[in-house]
Amino acid sequence: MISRLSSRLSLRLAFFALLATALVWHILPDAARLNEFRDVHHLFLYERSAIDTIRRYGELPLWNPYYCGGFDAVAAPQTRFLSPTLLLGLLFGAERAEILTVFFFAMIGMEGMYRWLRLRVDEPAAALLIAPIFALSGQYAVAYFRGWIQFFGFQLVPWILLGITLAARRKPIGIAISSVAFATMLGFAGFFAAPMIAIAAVLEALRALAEQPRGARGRSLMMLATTASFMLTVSMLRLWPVGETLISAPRIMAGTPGFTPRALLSALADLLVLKDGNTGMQGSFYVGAAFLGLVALGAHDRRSVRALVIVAIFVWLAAGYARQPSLFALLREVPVFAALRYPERFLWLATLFASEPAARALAGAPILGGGRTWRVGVWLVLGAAALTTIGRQVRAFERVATQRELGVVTEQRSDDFHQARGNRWLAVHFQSQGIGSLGCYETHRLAQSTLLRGDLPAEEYLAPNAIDAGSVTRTSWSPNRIKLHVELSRPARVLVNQNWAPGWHATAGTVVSNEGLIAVDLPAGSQDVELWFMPRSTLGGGAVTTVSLLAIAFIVWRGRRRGESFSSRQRSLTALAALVPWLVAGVAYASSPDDRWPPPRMTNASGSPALVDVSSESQLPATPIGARYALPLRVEAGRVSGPDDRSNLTIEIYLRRQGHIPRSTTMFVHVERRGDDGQPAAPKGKEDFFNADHQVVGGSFYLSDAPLDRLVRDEFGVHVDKAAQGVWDVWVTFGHVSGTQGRSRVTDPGGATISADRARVGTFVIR
Amino acid sequence: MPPAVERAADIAGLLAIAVCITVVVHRAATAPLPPPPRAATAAERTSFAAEARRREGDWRVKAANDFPADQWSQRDAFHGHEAQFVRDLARGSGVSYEEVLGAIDADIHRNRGSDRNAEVVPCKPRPVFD
Repeated sequence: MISRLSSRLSLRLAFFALLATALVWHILPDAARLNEFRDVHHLFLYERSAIDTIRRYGELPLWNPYYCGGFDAVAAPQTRFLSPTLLLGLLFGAERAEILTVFFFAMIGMEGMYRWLRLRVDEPAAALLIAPIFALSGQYAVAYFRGWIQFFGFQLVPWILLGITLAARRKPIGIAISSVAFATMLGFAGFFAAPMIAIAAVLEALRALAEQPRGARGRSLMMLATTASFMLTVSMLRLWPVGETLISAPRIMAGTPGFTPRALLSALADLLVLKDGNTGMQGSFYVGAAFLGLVALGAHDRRSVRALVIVAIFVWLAAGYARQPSLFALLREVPVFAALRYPERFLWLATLFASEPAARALAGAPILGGGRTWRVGVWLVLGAAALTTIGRQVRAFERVATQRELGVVTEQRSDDFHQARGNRWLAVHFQSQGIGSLGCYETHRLAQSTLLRGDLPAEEYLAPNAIDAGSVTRTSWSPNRIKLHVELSRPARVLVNQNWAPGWHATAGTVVSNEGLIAVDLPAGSQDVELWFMPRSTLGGGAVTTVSLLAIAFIVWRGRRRGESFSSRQRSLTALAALVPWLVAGVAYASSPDDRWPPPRMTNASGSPALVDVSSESQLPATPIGARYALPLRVEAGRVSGPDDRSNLTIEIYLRRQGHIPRSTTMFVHVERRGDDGQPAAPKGKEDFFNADHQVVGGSFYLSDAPLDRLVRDEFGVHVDKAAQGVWDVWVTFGHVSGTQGRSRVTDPGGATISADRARVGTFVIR
Repeated sequence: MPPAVERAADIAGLLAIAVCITVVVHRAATAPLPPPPRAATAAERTSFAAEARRREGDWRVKAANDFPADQWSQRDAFHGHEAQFVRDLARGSGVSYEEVLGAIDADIHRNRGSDRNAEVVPCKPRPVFD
């Protein structure tokens, strides 16, 4: 009876709707408030700006002028408006839409999990009870607390996997499900999660393929390849612009995060708690001990083996650098995965795949006895355990969500848009005044012109060398469109106090990047000029997405009429349908008239260039060293300046990469008080050692990406206000980022003093 | 299950879904906002701006010590101090954050050219977040 009821869509969705309602119930009274957690101020600003641009100006939210000096909103990895949830924002406003987004995504996630589990679990009631545990796991509570609403896009992962398995079973609808779910997830700012999803997708595809009869595997493989192709092309509206952004400004992540088995267990089994106004590891992926018990029970079923192998892989990845050998470290050697940030997020995928053996445990429930009474009794106990877990998840979500620091956005529009110095920690409160915040943070190096200013009397003005050439007056402004009246006695350049990006056009003159600022070169005369933003990456990407959706519709339609898409009669048409979007992409890319982004700049944290001109290499303002290491690195020179009156030391290392080094290579920098002349130990409150190890030069490139044989100038600072008196040395060597694999041997000291495989690059004195 | 029971179950299910969605949407759409904070007086705005201007030097020094030779991190730390100041001041004065931020922005625009961090240090997030 319960099985039959569970398999009815209406009743099942009603159950999920009730759970989703319970999840958000206590938070609904705060729906109009702003979560003041720090990250919200850019993530929420993106959504609010997009909604404002449509509502207030009647424009597509292509350009966001309100943050960082302006950027291509479609090309920003963390904007989430390219998904159906935008409709909620347009109807109810950005603030109120958030909780509705959570509500609907929770329902969608539960239904997706149910359907995906049912592919391999026969018992509907078991799938019904297990599905919510993933969809309500602790990480969603963490995400909501931190305003990471885009994480709810993870609820679409079961749909992606569902589509993959259906495709492997040669059902064309699988192509549509995976492609649309993946594109929606990317449109909902799931860009940085995409590499993780790719791993899950590949593993799902492999096991789904293995489940197929041997004779059908070739056709299944072609279906899977077609699915992968459409996942990319349907997402092209997003992939193309964001891809261009991240190629020009890669996201750089360093460090060696790792978690012990105990920490991972605590994340899964302990209740989520807040500490110092934030969530920690404990309970951050809460699925409860009962769920873990069910997984263990389900492991007795041989059919669970493949799922459990995948779970093991994800748990291994989640351990990060704490587990040796580290699968996570190996993964980060692959370029696309180098920017993966938090290994523990693989627990999410582990719990997803673990849901299958857990559901099997519920479905089987025969292990304690064979009689009907036993089976019913065991099922009731296990079912109650699952329901209790769901209840605790809902309670944890509510408890954490109601402890957010809440504020209010007060609409206080200024008459004219202008850039302010701004503040990224309060950026939403600038956007609500209709002004831009130049204070900026993103997880990648968002392109910002150094000519931007937050104190200009007018946002559009003549270039400094043409200040006497005439006048510029703004006649109309909207995010994508700026109208100016310009009077010029001679040709001149007009500057706009916003970042340039490919896609800015003008009705007169030529749009150029003036050191990263939007600029237009105009002829002499009186003229009305309109600048507008319409990037070809969005147009081209949109065309590919549209063609892909049409192609999928065609494949599904034909599949319903003629059966398998890769039968001998269908395969040519199906292959052609999959190729057409790529042809459109190729043509659109080749014919795009937009300028491209310049290559990423290699700079130090001080803003100084990190590459030395070849012509300047012979005149370095530093002490020659010439030390070589077993790793193909050579420290050519070094310089230590300071400490200055703020106790800040500046260290410059001139080095050259002379061969391949792993991405994990780190420069170990030890600032050490000299102890060989009988100096007493550092007094209490003082230090005799500082560490300045780093894997990334100036936050802009890994040591392993330093151009081969080019001289790199790596400049960084150390605050030494607690340094004890005495003579201090700065030592440099290299090794694995974890610091656990020893130091690279010095093979040639050159002119340097060597100690413990470290070359001395400079000395200073603390008096 | 007999068809009639199935039909009844479906209707009940659909009704339950409709009720849940209606109630959630209604509650979200009608959730009250707290009363709007009062507007700051001209004198208060002047005072907010002056107080911020007075403290900015200290924030700069602290930021420089915390992040030597790292311009963006220094600027970000400066803004962190400023954000805390704005929050405290707005709460203490019973005005919106927008009032305090608007006052500081107007002051920066009025006194153009002074050392107010009005120029940009390009975004360069630190590579290690944890």
